[in-house]
Amino acid sequence: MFSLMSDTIKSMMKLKRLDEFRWEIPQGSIPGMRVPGWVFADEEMMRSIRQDESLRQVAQTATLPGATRASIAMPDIHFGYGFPIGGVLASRVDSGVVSPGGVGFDINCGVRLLKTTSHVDDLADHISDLVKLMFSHIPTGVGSAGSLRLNRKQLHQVVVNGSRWAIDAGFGFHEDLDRTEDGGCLPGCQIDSISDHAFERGVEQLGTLGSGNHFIEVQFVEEIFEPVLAAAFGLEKNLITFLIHTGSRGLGHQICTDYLRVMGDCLRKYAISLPDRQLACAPVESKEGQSYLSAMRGAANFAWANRQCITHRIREVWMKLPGHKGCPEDIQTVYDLAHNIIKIEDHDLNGHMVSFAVHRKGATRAFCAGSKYIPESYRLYGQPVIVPGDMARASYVLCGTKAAEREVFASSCHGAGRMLSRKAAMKAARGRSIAGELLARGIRIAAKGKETLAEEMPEAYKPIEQVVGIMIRSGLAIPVARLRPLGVIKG
Amino acid sequence: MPRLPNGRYTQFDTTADMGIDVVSDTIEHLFETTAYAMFDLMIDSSALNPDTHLEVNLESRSLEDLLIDWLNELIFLSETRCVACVRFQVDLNGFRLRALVEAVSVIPGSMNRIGMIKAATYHGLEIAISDNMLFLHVLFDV
Repeated sequence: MFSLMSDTIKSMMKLKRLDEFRWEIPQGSIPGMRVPGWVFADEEMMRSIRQDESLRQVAQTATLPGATRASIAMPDIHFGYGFPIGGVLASRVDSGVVSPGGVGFDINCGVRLLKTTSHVDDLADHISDLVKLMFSHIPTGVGSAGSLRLNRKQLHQVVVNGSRWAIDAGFGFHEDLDRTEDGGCLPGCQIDSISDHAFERGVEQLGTLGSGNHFIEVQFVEEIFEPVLAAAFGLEKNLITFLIHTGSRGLGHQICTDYLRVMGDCLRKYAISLPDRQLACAPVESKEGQSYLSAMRGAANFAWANRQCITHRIREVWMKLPGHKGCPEDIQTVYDLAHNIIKIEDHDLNGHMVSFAVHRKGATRAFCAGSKYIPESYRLYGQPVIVPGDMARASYVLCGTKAAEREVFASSCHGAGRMLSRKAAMKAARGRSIAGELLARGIRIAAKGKETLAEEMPEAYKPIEQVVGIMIRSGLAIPVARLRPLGVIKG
Repeated sequence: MPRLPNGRYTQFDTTADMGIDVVSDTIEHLFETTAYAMFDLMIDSSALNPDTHLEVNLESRSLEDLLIDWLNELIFLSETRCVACVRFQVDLNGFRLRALVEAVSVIPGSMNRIGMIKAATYHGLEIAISDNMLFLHVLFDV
């Protein structure tokens, strides 16, 4: 038993291939599935996906009450806890549930893309200084505390107002809000839905990056695929960009912890039977469901304020860069989106608009042109979808499509998707200098420890080109631009 | 008196996260060993001397809930007090826990083995008895 538990059990789920990029886990593959599972992958990617138990997690997620159409997995899918990472599930508001495990602990972990007015040739001699300055100016690492120490009243304002609090406090421009999903604030957070423990964990962490896979990259636009969309998003070839990846830090972790306990009790109360306690849930309209959504909105707002405060720090660094005359207005937000969140959204179901609690865990929104969920400035074109890759290769800007709205509740992949475990990555990195290898590829890095670099080495992730290629060729996204990294800071 | 654990443990990893398998002779020792093993994932504390004492009191609805609550309370204390917990004395009465903990003050950022554990999860959680020994399997979000 001792060793059996530790073994990796390769997924034995039955799969039916629907076309080149679509696979189905038939309803009935495990008891209680209310809908089938759909996985977007090519044959090679599917071989990789089968190496862990993520397909079983897709099937288990399909047992949630109110599940509609399918339990969906994007090509960056990998093993999570409860939901797989890269999972999307829409549960009807009128008869379905909300599951904190469908968001995860890092609520509103997400990315923000910033563009500058400088081109790569203007900044070539400054990248090293830029990375060093960012690393010294922006708190990174485990449990890192920021220079912003908020009192409890201010923290309450952050969870209620999100990025708006940061703008009012002088950490950015109103234009940043226009280019942030939901304007950087989900209304409806009631302070009393968030525990003292959660506030205590968040009090020193606003404006901090954290550790693990969180990062800030300096990049440049290497290639434009769709000139009209790129111009609409303000992107042009060789432009310097920044990509921020972080979330709600300890405050969000604690909210998920707190509500997993609450939802565990709800399984008995509402007679819900599930194959995994980590999927614990409550009816959307129940007191517990509404309380979770309120607290989750607070964490989401904290995360947006966090990325806004980090944006402000990047602008400060930009102005301090020796030998480079920069002003804060040079740096503008392209878009900021969440990839761990539940959104209440209207979607077409058999010709009728129905309200759903759309769970995206390691997945983002991807609405097409005309959607009411896109900021006005982009509504004619479609929603920017930002997909970070690993430290060495590339990131992509995509755009949502009608097919994504029709098939997958307007969702997209959120990144490259992890492929190697931490131990496997450490083993692969033994005897190598990951920083040296990155430098040889022209990428400067500053990180708290060698361990983080080894765990986050490029080979630990699926090739981003393959993941994005599946999204594009299956019609779920339009390619807009490829961004190449020049420098990275990590916790 | 808080003590070093007397149970055995091994670490395992999944694609993105890590967990532990623990074997112990009593339920109290199982809780103590699991807590020790969780911090061992984050920091090598073997050369560090405890300088802080903490007390934890919890009550839950089941043994599984109590175990997860225990680990998550220690994560909370570690993050907010900037400590690594290294020695434990757990007393259980039904699903009520009282624990004395010795901890080491740490500089944020020094718990750098796998970074900070965000939470203990219920995914695949198992507490079992076999041949008068207790077995535990728990996965952490890292």
